[in-house]
Amino acid sequence: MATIDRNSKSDTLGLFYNGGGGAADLVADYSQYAANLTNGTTHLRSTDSRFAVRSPRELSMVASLSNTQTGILLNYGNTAGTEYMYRIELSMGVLYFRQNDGSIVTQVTAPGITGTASSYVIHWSTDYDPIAGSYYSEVMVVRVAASSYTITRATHAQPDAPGASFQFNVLGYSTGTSAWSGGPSLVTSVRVSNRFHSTTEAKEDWISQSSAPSPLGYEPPTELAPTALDFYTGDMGDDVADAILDTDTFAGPAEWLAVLHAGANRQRLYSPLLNIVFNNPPTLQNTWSPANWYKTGSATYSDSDRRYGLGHVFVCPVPSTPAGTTLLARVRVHVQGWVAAGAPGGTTARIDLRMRSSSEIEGDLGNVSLGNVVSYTTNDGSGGVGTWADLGELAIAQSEGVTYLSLGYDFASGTGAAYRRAKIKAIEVDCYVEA
Amino acid sequence: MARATDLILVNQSFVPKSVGDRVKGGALATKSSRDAALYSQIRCVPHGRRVLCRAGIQGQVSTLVVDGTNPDIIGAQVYPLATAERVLARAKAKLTPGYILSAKAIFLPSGPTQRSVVGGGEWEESTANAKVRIDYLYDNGASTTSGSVTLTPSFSSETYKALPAGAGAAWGVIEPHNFDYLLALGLGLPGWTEDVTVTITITAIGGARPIDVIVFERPFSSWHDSTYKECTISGFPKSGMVSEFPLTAVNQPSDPTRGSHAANKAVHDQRGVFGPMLLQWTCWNEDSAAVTASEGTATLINSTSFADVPTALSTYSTNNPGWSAASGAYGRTLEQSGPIELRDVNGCIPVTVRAYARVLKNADVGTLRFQTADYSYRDLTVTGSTTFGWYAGLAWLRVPVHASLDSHLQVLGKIGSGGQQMEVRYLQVEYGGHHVLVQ
Repeated sequence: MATIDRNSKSDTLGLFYNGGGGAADLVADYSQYAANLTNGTTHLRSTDSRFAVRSPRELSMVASLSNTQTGILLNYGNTAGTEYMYRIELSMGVLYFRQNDGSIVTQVTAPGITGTASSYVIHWSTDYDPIAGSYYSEVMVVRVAASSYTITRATHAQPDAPGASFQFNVLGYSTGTSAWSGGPSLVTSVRVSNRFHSTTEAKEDWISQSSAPSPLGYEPPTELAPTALDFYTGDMGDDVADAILDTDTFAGPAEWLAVLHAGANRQRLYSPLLNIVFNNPPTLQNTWSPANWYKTGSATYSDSDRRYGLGHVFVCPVPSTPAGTTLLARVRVHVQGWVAAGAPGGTTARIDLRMRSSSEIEGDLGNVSLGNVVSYTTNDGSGGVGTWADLGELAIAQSEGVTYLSLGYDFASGTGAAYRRAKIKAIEVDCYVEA
Repeated sequence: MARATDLILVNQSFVPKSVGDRVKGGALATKSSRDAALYSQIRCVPHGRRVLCRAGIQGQVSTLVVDGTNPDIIGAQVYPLATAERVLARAKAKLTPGYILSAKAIFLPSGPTQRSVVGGGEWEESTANAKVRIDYLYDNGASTTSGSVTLTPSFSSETYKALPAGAGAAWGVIEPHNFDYLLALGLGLPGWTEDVTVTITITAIGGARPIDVIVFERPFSSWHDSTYKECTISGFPKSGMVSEFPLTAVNQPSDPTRGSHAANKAVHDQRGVFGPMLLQWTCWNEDSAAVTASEGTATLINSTSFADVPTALSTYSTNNPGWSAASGAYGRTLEQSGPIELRDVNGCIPVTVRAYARVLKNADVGTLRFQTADYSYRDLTVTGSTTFGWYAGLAWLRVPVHASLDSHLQVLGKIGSGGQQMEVRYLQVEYGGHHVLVQ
């Protein structure tokens, strides 16, 4: 039984790998079309019109490049080489992304390229931006060994329609004229698709796949609404019988499924409750100045070790949740901790942090929820950047769709506590529904 | 004839896993099952409460209106003039269809204002005046409508209108304020439901001491007619009300198949338009702003290598201060982030990145990089104008697959060559930018 390649997707028009055999390997098409290329030894070619893709599209290659190589890596055009829809070309370490018989969409110096060949991912994706009313391309070139990424973006004319005798070439045009001097043996993979691919997808496909995460709470899936390769321009006067024939519409049971799967849209508006980078934050210490600014935490909730400052209290509307469930949030705080000069020996850096959610601003009225107390003990130095402290999960206490979030902290006690210093540089509170 | 759906009346709680139980496999489609499914689709709409603009103390340990100083002094000005206005934040965003702006704030008691005594160098307490004004403008692409509301906090009754003394005493006098609906002429008519952009300005006046002021969106009502047809809101009336049409997107009551067609379009449009507001940033610093400031001090970018806009750090690093893009997980779509495309281990969404910026000479070229990973960033060009204005662009940014996961967004800036300069006052990143509604 044939193995489905991980990088062969519903939009893949051609997928070719070099397993070590050079051109002899690259002929085999791992896409759903399973239509092989013609092996020209110095190049590979096909007259199949499925490669005549205009927009949206994705063209990607993995190849070992050096700055002494020249020539055409990928081409769809005529056999004279004078007309083409798309072309990727390398010269003096610079990759040229061309379309429409010569227009340079963009050019990118391959990051870190030298005289010694090294593996690069070349990713060129094109789409139409209906807001700006223009076509655009995103190009990413990655030196894999150094994780050096260059991403650039350009707007341009609509890619031309193909000419009558256009053909697809991996390396050169026609029968390998002007083929990239690296030759087929230095090509690792080639893919042509008819969907815009993000640079994130290119990274996942060609560089490394991220490890499976372990999220908290309910994880809404991506919706299963009907999708289309072409940009959707629904015609409300269109007869359903005609709509069935459109490439971008469905009808009948599929439409009811659209309603069914609309459930995934129900959390699409969930946004961070807080997401703030503070401008030039002040240095905090246990003198709690000004005194009227800092309130001691609630004794009722065994929180009297913490102080809450007016600079860290926020009013936050909260989104609706499924009936009978609590809204949860993950809290992260960016902290820089250090010890001031003159501290007695043995003094360590420390600030204890806790996020509080309450339905009322005053005292212990209404609903109150306290998060974990987390100690940040890294000594970043007075000139350090600091890093993120994960305060974990917080249940959101709300009334009539509003919560007040306040960040409490203290510097603990013991040797040199008066010399402990900290800055709170950013707060992030992202919400989700309990599982 | 105009058709309205009152989103305030729609039950906003929901069961995320089963919307269309009545049309599940094996069930016969009937008018009642169709109606239930379509009503469920409407219930996807009103759950959001996105904050579009926020301003306030934001981590500082003092307010611009200082605490306890005698306003009658000889020397430098300490308090603002009674009518002095200072812009705390500006924002621009796409409004969720059927929503309206709303505002909440918490204040400390207001302080004094000053006026100069003739002769100069001498100041005395001026007329008591303290407000926060929220100006807003709704724009549907064809015309605009605007309004403003004013929040008026109480004055302190202490000497010199100070905050009460004693440990934590200021917490006892915090005053919440609320405006449920920021209305404007024309809202509530067809044409003001889908594809509306809002521009917001929060301005403090005189002796106001705002702790936190937010402008956010809440469900209101949708209005459609034969010109402005349903897009994200299918238009099915609240359960129990008489339905004039099977589904009102097209006026063909005898053809129920139109209903399913429009339902398909609604779910498609919803995922193209609905998504999170990821961040807003203002340059305002309540602690360091000059008492005469009319707006925050913009971040100056004058280096040819990248520097972080709020912190000046020179690199992108997940250890740096920055913003979370984790809620972007809610905006993932099947085309880009489906189980085959990104294998449920990573995500990518279209966002609109915005910057309120300028260059100091027309020919200067500034670049703002919105970045969420080494492999995911968008460079936005600022050039051509020495007047502050909004620059915006479409970006495809990496997000995690869930809001509880780590995510890191930074905005870095640089200029094209030595001697050039760019200033940045406000930043914003919201979902969208890759969808046009066809009404």
